[in-house]
Amino acid sequence: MFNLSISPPQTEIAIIPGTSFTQAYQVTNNSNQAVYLNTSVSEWIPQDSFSSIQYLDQTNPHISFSLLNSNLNLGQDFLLPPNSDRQIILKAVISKDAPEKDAYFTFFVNQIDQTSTDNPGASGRIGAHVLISASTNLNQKPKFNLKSLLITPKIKDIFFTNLSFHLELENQTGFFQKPIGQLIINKSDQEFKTFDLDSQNILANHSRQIYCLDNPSCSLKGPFWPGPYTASIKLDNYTSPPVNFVILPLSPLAFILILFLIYFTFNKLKSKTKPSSNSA
Amino acid sequence: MNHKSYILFLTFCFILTSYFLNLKSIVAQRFDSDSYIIEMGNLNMTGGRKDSGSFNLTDTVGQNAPGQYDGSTFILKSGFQYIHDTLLKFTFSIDDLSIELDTLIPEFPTTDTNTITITSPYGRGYQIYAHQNHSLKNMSGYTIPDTTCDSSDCSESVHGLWTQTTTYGFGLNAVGLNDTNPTGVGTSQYFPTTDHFRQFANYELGETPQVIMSETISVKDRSAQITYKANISPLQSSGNYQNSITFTAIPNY
Repeated sequence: MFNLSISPPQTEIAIIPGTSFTQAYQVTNNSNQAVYLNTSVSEWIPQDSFSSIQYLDQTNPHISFSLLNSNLNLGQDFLLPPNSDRQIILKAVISKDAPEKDAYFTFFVNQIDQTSTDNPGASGRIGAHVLISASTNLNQKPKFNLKSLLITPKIKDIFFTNLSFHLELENQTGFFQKPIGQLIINKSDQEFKTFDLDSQNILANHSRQIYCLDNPSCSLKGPFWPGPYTASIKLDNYTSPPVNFVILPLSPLAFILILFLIYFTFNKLKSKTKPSSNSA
Repeated sequence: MNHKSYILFLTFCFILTSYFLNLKSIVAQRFDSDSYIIEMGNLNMTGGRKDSGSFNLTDTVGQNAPGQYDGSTFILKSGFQYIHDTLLKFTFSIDDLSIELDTLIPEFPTTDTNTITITSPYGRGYQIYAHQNHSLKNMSGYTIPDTTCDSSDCSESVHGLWTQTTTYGFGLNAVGLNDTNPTGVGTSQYFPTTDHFRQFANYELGETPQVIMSETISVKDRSAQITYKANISPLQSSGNYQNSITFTAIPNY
């Protein structure tokens, strides 16, 4: 069995080149079997706007990692007894000539099988991210842009439609930022509904699908008043251009149309079956 | 000075005296260096949960006014000792590391299963990757190839239906569970049904580990059943075939 915990799951730091920082991790073996582990650090880059990442094969020449534990080095095997935890202290040194930009890493705790070099069967590894912004300016101003705001479904009815808002925000700075703001839906220039955005990290010069706090799909249930609506994003220092959409009274119209067709058909059938009367 | 003015003057003096007697000095902590500045109203020295064989203790040391304060409409818990229960750890488990496909009979697919479970308290969710070190291989170097599914349309990153007994190879399926009931939560975007399979990403061939399960919300004890399936042709060389599978769990950033 493999059952491992790590805390904290993510470290975010803005730091001046030529300095270092440490992060203490608590690694816990929750199983009733001892497990052999080692540690490693891998650099990654974002792969898409859905928080997928791609690990790099290269070693970052400007950021080096080591462990501060007196009896443990990075990459060294160690035994974690059952139902026990161990503190592992990771140190990162940012060289003085490090470029002023972001670098993203995962600190891994890897299970190893000391009984076999081929390690047949399954094994696990667990990771915690380290997001580093190396810069002499530790107060980077955020700059965002709304890359896309899709409102589904395409055909919107006042009764039988649940609206979902899918938004993608772009970070136009060279450092990871968290957007703080709201998705605002207006009708006739009146605020109709406001969603608080979930302040997820948007990495440097990258975009990400952003969800709503307490309502991940940013969904809105009907019924709605028919007419034109607008949706826009309002952040601390950015308001997006509004995106227009229309909700139509399709179901009532369809209902009236069906009623009319029934009435028309009924009348037509009635006039056909009525015998014609000739005056004498 | 008449009587009224005298009383007013005394009242004013009393108010001023009360104000100054109640003044407390404000003490804050400031630490700085060339690379950081810390400004805090107080500096905690320790806090959290401590226990031994004979006691359980939660404490906060250094905090101004720690403790629980109850009002008619609120409960305030002040101090780091009260957040230890909210800081769930990022946890990943595999219930069975031994995957036994036993004796493979040509055109009789064999499966084995295990269950992976994840807790991701960090609000952005998680991703679980899987890869194999190499194809199922015996001592002579013969391999059971990775499946390409019934329509030769699946790979390590694309799922495909695999139900025919004349489709050979090795692959996996993952289905999200609620207790033991299959729900597809976290896995349906990668494996729409229990008959959809993929290859494992092959580390030996330089293939990138692929996501097999993910969500964008915090979860507690979310499980999935992994099914390992192998089917061989009558021409497969005999022998003991084995490889190792690695599951990697990371939080979303």
